[in-house]
Amino acid sequence: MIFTLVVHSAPYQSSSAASALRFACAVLAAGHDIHRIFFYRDGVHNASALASPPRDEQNLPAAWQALAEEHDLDLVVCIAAAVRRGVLNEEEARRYEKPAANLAEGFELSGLGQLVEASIKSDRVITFGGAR
Amino acid sequence: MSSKSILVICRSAPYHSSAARDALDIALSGAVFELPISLLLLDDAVLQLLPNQHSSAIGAKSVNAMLGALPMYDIDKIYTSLGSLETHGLALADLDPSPIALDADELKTFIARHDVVLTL
Repeated sequence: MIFTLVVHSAPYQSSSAASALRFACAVLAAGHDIHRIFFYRDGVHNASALASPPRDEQNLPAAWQALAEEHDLDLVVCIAAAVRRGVLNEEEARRYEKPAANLAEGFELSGLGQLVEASIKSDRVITFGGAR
Repeated sequence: MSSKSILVICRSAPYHSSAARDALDIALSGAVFELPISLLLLDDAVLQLLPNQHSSAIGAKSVNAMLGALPMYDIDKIYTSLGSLETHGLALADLDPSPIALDADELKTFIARHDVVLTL
């Protein structure tokens, strides 16, 4: 079965993003495919290269990167939501004349069309951290 | 690309969080793909349908005005539940754009008949 995950929550304050990560691992372990993981709303903070949790705590952005690398996953961050919240790639940092870019490697900024396309292609679309 | 129906469910008051606008943005993106899109406003989200929102007073764009523009994108029907109306003491006549109000049983079948459900 083909899954798409939608992550609406930032790491740490809510457990939703960590739940999404565990769900993604479980989906892959059960032999299913993940078409895309789409980060929307505060979920864009999962893609920050600057997150620096204590060494003995889970580093969610790094965990997403490792999972994506191992399974060749498509990690897409909503560009409008990200730019609003200060999660920028090099191109957007230049466009908005900001001093730095902080989109972690392995994540890609793109539009909501990627969520719609993923919804069409996937058998299941699961939202984490939605209703708020 | 096969066509799938998408249901966007929002449960937030218009200016409580970014949920109302973020839900609209998903609905509009689906409309760009010419998919059948339904918007279901439950609980506090039914307040998005109250007209005459002076949102500029809090530096926000009017969610109600954006909902009113949805027919331009071929999203003609907005849905809510009788329970949501009752919670807020509202009648359909109070709301613009006017939604279709579903009872608890209709709500179940309505949600079930969509291929994809996205919640905010």
